[in-house]
Amino acid sequence: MQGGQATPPDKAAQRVIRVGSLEIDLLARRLRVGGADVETTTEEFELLAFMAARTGHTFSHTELLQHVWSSTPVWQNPSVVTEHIYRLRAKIEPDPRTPRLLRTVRGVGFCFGDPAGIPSADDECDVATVDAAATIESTIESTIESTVESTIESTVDVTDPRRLIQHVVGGVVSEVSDAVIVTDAGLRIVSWNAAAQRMYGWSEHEVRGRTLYTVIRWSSHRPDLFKTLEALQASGQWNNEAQHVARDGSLLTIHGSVNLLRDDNGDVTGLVVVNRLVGGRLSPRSSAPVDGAGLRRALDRSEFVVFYEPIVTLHDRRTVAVEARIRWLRQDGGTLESRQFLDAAERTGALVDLIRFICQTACLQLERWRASGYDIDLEIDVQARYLDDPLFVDVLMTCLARLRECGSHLWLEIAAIDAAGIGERAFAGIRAVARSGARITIGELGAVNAGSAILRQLP
Amino acid sequence: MKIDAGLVARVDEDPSSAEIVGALVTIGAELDVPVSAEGVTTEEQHRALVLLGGTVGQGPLYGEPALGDHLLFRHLPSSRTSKLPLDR
Repeated sequence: MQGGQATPPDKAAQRVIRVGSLEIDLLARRLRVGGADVETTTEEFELLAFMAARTGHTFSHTELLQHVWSSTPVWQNPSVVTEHIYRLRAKIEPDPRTPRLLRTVRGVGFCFGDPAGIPSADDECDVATVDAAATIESTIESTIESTVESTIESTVDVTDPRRLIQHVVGGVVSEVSDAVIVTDAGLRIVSWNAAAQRMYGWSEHEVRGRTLYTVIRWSSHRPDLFKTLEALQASGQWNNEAQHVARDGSLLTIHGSVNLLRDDNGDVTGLVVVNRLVGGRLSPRSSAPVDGAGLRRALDRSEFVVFYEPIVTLHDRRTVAVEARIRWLRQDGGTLESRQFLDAAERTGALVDLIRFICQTACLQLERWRASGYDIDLEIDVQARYLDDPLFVDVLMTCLARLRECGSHLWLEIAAIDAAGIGERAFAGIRAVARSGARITIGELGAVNAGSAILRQLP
Repeated sequence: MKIDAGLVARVDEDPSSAEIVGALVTIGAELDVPVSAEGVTTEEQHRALVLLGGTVGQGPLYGEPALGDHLLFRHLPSSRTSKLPLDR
C-alpha cells in the first residue's frame, strides 16, 4: 500500500501508509508518530486506517459511521465520530487545535491528508482494494470451495466458483446478473456484489456489517425465519420465490437460493445467497402518510415489525434479556424508528393500536422463547404518561393475563425523566401492572435528578 | 434500573461520569435490583463498566436489534449441536 509520497516497492510495503512523520501499519495494526509507537483504541485505528487509505476524500459523519462502525445515525449518535476525530488529533497532530492531517471540512465532514503533500489517487485505490479483498478473503477462503460450488453452478452462469468468488471479492461482477451476497454466521453481510447493488440499490459499503434481513426486505408474506433456518440446517440449502422491496421502494420478484458455508470442521461460517430477478420491477407503491389513517393502514399491511435489542451480562456477553423496538418498514422502502412516528401516533389517536401491537407481538414472542426453553426476559419501553390512559393499562393487563407465569419475565421500562411529571393515576396504573406480575425498570438514570424520587413512589 | 447512555458514553474518560455510574451500581446492589448500562458502544466503555462492578449492559457493541426467531434459533441447544449457531 501507499506510503506517503513514495510509490511502494513491494506488496509488504503496501501494508504501511506513511504521511510525513505518521506511519500506519495496517497489518500489525500499529501507529507510529515520529518513529514512536502511539497507542490507539480499535475504533480509533479503524477510523484512521479507513481515512488514511482514502487520502483527500471528504467523508460525512454518516459515511464514517457506516464504513467504520457498520452503523447508522438512527442506531448510533454521529457525535461518536467527532469524539474519535478529536482523540486522534490529540495523538497525531503536532497542534491538535490547528489540525493538518485530520481536517474538518465545514458543513460536510472530515478529510485526511496534509494539503501540502496528499498522495496520488492511484495509490489510495491500491490501499482500499487490497484491504477489502484481504478482509473478505480471510473470511471465506477456507470455506468457499465445496459449499458454494453447487449453489453457484446451479444458479449463476459461471462454472468456476473460485472465479466467481474472485469477482465477488473484487466487487466486479458485470457478467453476473444475479445478486450474490455472502454473510458471516451471524447473518451479517460481508460481501455484496455489483448485481446486488443494481438490484437493491444499496452499495456494498452501506450494507457491510448489517444483518441480512434488515437490508433485504420482503414486501409481504415474510417467510417464517425460524423454519427457513431449520430447513437450511437440515439440508444445507433453501430455495424460495419472494417479492422483495428495493431501496427505492420498487418491488422485485426473485428466485432465491441460500447455501451454508462450512469450514473444514463442518462448522457453519456463513451463508451464500444468490437472488435472481424472475419477474419485472414494479414501481414503488405510494407510502402511507404518517397520520392516524396511514398508521392504521400500515398496521393492517403488517408494515410494523418488532425487533429485539440484546441485553447481555457483561462478564460473558450472554443475552439474558431483550428490549422490544418497533420499526415501520414502509412500502416506499424506507425504515422509520419508533421515535419518528410515535408522536404522530399519539397526536392522531393511533397510539393505543400501535402499543397493543407491540405488546401482543412481543409477549407472544416471549411465550414462544420461554416455551422453547430459552431463559430470557423481555423489556418494553413505555412513556409514563401512557399509563394515565385506562385503555393502555387495559392492553398491558390483557397481555399479562395471557402470559400468566411468564409475566414475571416482562419488564416495563419507564424513563425517569418522564416519570418525574406524571400524576397519581399513572402511578396507580404502574402499581396495577406490577401487581399483575410485570416488573418495572426505571430508565435513563443519571440523565436527570428524578430517579430517587421516582423509586420511592413505585411498587 | 438503567443507566443513561449519555453517562455510559463518557464512563471510560470522564472521572465524574465514572463516579456517578459507580454510585448507581452500588445503589442497585444495595437495593438488590439489577442495574443495566444503556448505549454501550466501545470496548473501552465495556471494560470501564466491568471495573466499576456493572453486571448488565446493552448497546451497539453487543449487537444490533434482531428478529425474535433469529434470536431463538441461535440459542436453541439443537442449533448448537448441529453447528448452525448463526452467531459467534
